Amino acid sequence: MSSGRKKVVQKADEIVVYDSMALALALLPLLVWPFSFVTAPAVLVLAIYGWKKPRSLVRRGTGRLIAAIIIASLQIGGWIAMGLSLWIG
Amino acid sequence: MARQPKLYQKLVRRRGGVGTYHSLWLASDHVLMVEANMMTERYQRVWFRDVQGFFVQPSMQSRWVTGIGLLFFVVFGGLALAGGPVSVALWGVAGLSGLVALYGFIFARTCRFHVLTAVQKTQWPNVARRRQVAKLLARLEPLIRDAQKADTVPPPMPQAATETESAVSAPI
Repeated sequence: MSSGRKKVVQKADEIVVYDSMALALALLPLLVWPFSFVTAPAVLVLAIYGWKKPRSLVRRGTGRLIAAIIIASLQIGGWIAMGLSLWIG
Repeated sequence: MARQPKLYQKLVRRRGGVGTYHSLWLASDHVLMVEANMMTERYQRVWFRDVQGFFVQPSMQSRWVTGIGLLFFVVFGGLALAGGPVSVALWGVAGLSGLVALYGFIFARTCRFHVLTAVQKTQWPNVARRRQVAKLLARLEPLIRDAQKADTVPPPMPQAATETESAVSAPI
């Protein structure tokens, strides 16, 4: 079953690259940082959703997904810290 | 857990325009062209056994860069010759533009590269320089030759049936 699934993945003509998408979505809002309020949670959702999906045939690692998760977590942490500092005083 | 061996090696580095880029990857029996953007990757395989030929078509793409470099060189060089407080900066820009133009004249001979198979003619857009073509062909030619040689070897002659087989297959 699993080898059959791998074969199907290797013959795919087009795939959605969730890892690249998540990384781009994590990095692009650094240019316009307020957007990260929306995009950072979206990156986490995308990364978790895409974790088990077929990856690129030529880049098989999880590096991009991990990088996206780290960057998004930092952004969310930043927002939480900012919110707390405003709330406390 | 053991790491999976890499199926593909990079053949020609990626190149592209805004948002989309192409790259070529080498497998044991085919070349994979990847057309990628931020969201998807599209794959096109060319099997060595199917390759019938390559077309290399000269392109004028590099002339634009060379021409603009030359134009900048002339304009900024002229302004720098006229003198003034910023002539050093103008000489700098003119020098850089001159280098771009010189590089374009000498090295950046661009082309379009097509691969022909029995069913299609595909362009490999990231193979755009003559030097790349020479390297690529040097790498692919032996692989293609080997793959096609293996295909043209005639199948072994069927051996004469043994006594038992003939006895079994003979009509009753």
